[in-house]
Amino acid sequence: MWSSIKRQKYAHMFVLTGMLIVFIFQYLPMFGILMAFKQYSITTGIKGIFTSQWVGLKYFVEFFNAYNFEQMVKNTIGISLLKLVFTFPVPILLAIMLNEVKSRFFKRFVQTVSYFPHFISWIVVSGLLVIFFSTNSGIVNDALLSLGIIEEPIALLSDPDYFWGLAVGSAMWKEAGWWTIIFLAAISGLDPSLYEAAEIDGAGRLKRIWHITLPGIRGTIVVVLILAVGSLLGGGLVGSNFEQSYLLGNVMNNEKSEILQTYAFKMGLAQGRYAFATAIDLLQSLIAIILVFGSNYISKKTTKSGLF
Amino acid sequence: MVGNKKKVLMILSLVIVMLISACGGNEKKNEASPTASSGSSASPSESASQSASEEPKEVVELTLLVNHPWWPFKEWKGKIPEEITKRTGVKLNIQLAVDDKQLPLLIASNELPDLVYTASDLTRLANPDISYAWNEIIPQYAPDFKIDQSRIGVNTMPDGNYYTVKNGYSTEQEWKDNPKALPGGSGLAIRQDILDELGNPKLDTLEDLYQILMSVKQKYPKMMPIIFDKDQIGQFFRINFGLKRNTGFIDLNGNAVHYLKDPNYVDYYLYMNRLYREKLMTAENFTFKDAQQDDQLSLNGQVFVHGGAMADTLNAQLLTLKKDFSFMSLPKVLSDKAGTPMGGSGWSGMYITKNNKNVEASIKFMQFMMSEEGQRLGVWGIEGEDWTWNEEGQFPVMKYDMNNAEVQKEFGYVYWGLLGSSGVTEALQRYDEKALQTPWGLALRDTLKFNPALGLVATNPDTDEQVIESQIKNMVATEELKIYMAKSEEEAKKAYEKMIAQMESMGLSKLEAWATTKYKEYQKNF
Repeated sequence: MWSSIKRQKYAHMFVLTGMLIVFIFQYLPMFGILMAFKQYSITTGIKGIFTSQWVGLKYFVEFFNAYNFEQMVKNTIGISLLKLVFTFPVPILLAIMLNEVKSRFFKRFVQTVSYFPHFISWIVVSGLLVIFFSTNSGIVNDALLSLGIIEEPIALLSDPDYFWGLAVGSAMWKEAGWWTIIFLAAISGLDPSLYEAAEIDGAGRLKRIWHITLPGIRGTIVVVLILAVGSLLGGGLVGSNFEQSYLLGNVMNNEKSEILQTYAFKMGLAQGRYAFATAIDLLQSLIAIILVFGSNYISKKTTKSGLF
Repeated sequence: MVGNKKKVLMILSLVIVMLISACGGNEKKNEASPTASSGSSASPSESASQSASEEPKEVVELTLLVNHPWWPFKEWKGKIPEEITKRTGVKLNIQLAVDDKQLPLLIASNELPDLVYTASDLTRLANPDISYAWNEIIPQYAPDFKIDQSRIGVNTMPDGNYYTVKNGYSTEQEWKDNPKALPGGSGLAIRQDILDELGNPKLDTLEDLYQILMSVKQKYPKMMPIIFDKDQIGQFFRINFGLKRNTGFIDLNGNAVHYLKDPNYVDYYLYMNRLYREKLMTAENFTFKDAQQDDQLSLNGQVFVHGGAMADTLNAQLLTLKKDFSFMSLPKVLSDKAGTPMGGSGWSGMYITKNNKNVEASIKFMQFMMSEEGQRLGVWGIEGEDWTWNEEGQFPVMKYDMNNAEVQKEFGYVYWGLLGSSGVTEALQRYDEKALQTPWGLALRDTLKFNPALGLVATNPDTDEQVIESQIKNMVATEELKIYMAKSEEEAKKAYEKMIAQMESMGLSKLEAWATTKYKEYQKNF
């Protein structure tokens, strides 16, 4: 064993560096979790994490008793599930369609245009959405009104009933193109001779997609899916649950836009109640872990491929 | 191969160096402050020999965190701050808080600058581990710094110390002594040209206002009859119903009860709800995230009444934009229930943190800023050059356009004065015989209601009361909207009752019992 380690010492040094980084920045700060069970006051600084009094599950109880707890959980899970269901297939479809495009220019063009929004920050996107959908000077409402399609402006940004749709739609627009790259890369790794053989056997385009492309990228799909499920409460693949609820949420649509993360931010961090915020976050991490292991288990049972 | 190995080694060492430097970054910062403090620790002894009137030999530089993200001045620059530096020997490096989360973070990480000026997290800063208690440093460094008892009273914390003296506070007597002192409060700016076109209808009651808004909606369907500054929604009407806003308690039969339980609150909500149901105001007003949004609409001529805006400020902007309309300022309240609760102990306070490099210079700086001379220099400007007393000596007559934000910024008027000014000094600055706002200010003055004991009742951080209070506040922010947006008056009333019932179920009675005990304790001091 030692000889093989010695032989690969440079590779091992890389691994060690990585482990060191993970240890220092991911594991060491974890002692902060203690806060969730302690009467922590920020004026006591880092030392206070260890010296302050234990309060058991006080903050968890407080959180469960929040007057809109049910609503927040519903919103968090609702938005996340919708995002998973609607945004997960889009990049796959887009990648397959792009793969079938013969014109290089067109393909490149669509790819660039569709992944470009990924680089725009949510704060800018929320500003764009206001410009487009505001009721009193929004481009879309103005156009629809002047065309006589609607009589009253649609309050997309303030009516709570539109929030989930707005969140899913804007996240899809922003991130679908970016994830397409992953799937395109997986597709380009497939052996072209498979397609040639299928073509000779008389398989049409749809048959080729169904029998070659999709099974070929199944592994990638599963891995991405497990990752998406693991970060489900954060918005999955497209993420950004917090950014959306924080930036697009307002007192008007609060009943549909308040999620666990914004609540932790408002009632915890913003008020200097780090202990309470930690408790909420810890709970979320717990759910995320269960989701990752759960989806990995199911995936292994059904498709025989999993992340670990 | 050898070349490759070298490359790998180089990259690895680079990564490790980056890693180590990233970890050490924090420590370096911590090291930096003691050296900096030892470097300037020479100056206290020097500045000890300087009294405020003498010419300072060396300027002490201190860093001040202004915990008001909207603060218009980003630097210690202009005629007024330079004059302050000349007289105190203190120059401030300004650090403007990015948002309201920055201060708690700085407290937790022990990275507070020398001075903090803030209106929030006050009780957190009032902690012997975080800030110096003024009652301890004044006898040591500035024995001739005299603060009157009422100010000490309203700033004294449960531990018996006072860690700051907040600005914006004046006793009822001080208000009475200065008949030209104008309180600030949300008024209405109304389009003069449209009022003229409507034939200047009678406008004496809230009902009159409602009728006028209705006729504007009919005659000018493209116009928004009323819009509010995003932080002032409904505030003019709260004043007309004599209501408190956002936080705090009111006196109901001698007990301290939650401000939303004021019996007039329901009438206020019903009035606002009627404005909404009749489409006189837009729901989107509640979603404004940018303070410019409402101003833009007004400046574009899309708004008839702008609540919370100042007509003088709008008109100055309209003049530069060469628009052919202007706003007037409603000169009166529209109800006999009107009242402006003055339960406060002041607004924002200066804290001298334990990280302060030069405590002596800091407290002497505050001594100057709180002196009559310092207050007037900061808020009004240089006497003789910027302002003179009117003939009766009642109020300063400004020689500059004090409502012009650009002028304020260039010379540094008003805002730096707030570091130590009293409510009355600030209020006298608002008095301008020519300004449209002045009659409104005078009308508002008549509605002031004082109850300092009630203003002192405030929850402490990390206590059960504070948790209840903030949870209620969070709930109210959402539930209140359901009252505003109710489809009928019946529904609005029900929504209000539901909100109050919700508050009760969240532990309001416990909070009120605590508040009443505190209230009665404080009442003994007045």
